Amino acid sequence: MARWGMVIDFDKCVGCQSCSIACKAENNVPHGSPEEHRKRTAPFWQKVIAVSNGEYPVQRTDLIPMPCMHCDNAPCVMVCPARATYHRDDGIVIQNFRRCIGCKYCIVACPYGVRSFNYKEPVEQEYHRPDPPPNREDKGVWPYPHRVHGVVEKCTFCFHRMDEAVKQGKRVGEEVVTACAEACPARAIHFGDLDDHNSEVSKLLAARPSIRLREGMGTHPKVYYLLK
Amino acid sequence: MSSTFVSIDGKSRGYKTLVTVLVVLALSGLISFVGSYIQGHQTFGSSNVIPWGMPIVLTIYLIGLSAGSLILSSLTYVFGREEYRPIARMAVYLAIVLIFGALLSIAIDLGRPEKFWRLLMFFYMNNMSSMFAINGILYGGYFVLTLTYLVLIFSGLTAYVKKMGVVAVCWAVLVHMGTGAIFGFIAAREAWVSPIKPLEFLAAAITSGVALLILAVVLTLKFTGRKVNREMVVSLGRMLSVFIIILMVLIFVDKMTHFYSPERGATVFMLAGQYSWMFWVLQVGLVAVVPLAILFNPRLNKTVRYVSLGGSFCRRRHLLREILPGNSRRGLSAALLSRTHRRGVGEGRGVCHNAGGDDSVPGYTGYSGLALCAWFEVPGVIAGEGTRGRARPGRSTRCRGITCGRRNTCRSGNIRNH
Repeated sequence: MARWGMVIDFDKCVGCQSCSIACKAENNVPHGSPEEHRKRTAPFWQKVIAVSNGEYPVQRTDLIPMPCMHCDNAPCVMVCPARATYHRDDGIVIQNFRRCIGCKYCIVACPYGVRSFNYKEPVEQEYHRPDPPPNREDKGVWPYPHRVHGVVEKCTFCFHRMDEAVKQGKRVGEEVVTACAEACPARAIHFGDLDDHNSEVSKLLAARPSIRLREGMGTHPKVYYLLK
Repeated sequence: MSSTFVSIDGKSRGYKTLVTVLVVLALSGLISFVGSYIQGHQTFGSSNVIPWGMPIVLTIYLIGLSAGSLILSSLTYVFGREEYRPIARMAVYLAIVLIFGALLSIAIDLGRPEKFWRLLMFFYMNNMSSMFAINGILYGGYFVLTLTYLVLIFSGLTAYVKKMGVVAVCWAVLVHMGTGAIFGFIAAREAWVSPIKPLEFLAAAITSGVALLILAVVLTLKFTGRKVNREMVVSLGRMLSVFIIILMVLIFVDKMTHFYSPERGATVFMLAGQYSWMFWVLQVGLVAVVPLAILFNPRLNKTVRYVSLGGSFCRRRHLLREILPGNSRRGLSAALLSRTHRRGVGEGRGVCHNAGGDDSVPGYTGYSGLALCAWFEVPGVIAGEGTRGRARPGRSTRCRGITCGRRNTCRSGNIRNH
């Protein structure tokens, strides 16, 4: 079984937010009104944060794309009382909206702040992409999940694409990647199998120094950042 | 003081006024709940930055009061201190009513309150590594145990009452320590994570329980025109002062350990930041300084009036928790970025939000109906217990929006369940 992971190159990221927009288009995440953004109630599955460091003459801004880290030792899986968040066999931390009771304990427990609460009823839309074809028979309601307000949601590593690719025998990481990796104009986001030594992500991690966010928390994230 | 209990006929004017006021409050709470369900949880002032709003504050406040007052009832029924017998029964009754309010507050805080039953599917649908699931067992068992305890007390089976008292009190200790563990075991929140958080919660529970009991006893007896036993109230006040000191020591130790740990941003923010006045004025000032000044004043600590005044200040303690969600998130931003950056975190855009936020104010006002409802349940309890003699939970809880709220939950569940 593959173990999906993501490698993000700090050297290449320009902070254009294409990944955020692509994620919203792919997963029907509401765009949010200015009022909602001001109140911080607009959901994000993927976002790019800018971190300023230092005072004006020696000031530096760093851009960090923040998908869900899909930790091997995920605090959200640990604290979810309703088994709504769990690990799949391929390591993806998935959120089951039908089980979620909306207690928001996982948002509290997440060290990365990548989980969003659905404050209003999302609008149902048609999935516009021709490939991979949405297979609604065996995957239920994905892609474009039917979900309601009052549940917690987050990045899924576009698992509907990965499942479809594995079924069709396509190469994940080259032919099929997540929506954010696909949309990145600088090709800063790489996606692939961390257990496969020949995959692009494994080669990148072997070749360049990398970090993971808040490694001191012991969460073992599957999103790696290549340093500048 | 000999305890004589008479049942009331419910025809007096004061009783009818009280019931009317409580019904109005319950209705306003129900309307607020429906509004929050339809409009979303931003009415609580919560956001993705501060996910837990007022209902959680209310929950731990009520659970603390409940567990604290049940622990106090053990003075009579377990340790055999006869001078507290008049209040022991009231303490158990308060525990039941307050835990009911706490469970209702949890349901309000859920995004999908109609799925509350999933929390009660112990072991079957629950992830037992979650403190929420474990606390579900604790709260449910607590409710049943306390009810049994009260029934035993009324039926006068003294031998069983003592055994049941031991079990119920141990369970109550577990309940509030479990509530503390919900917060204390979350490593992502620097302001919360602490091994002494369960003990701190326990101390807070007993402190606020004593304070509430003083207030309830004095108000009930005044309200029904009976004589207040001064010695009992004064000795309760002495007990309260000891508990306040214990609580303050625990809070001090908690803050100090956070001060010395690598991530001290959250604690610094709480003690010296924008909202530090909440901590210093409300928590330290109103909970510790003012009551202790009253209780240790040689002139005032002998009078019923001032002891109960001290108690009323002390009861505000848990409300202070509302500062916690905001400031802990600030700590999150600091810690999240400290992996690569050490300074200038506050200027970062994206995750580094202004903790607290001004948006919470309209949210709180929208919620005030419900909060008031729970706040004023105390007089309802007093009236129910003090004048009726035999406590009947069904009668008094009717006036608190609880039954109405639950009915509404079921109805919307039918409509909205997907």
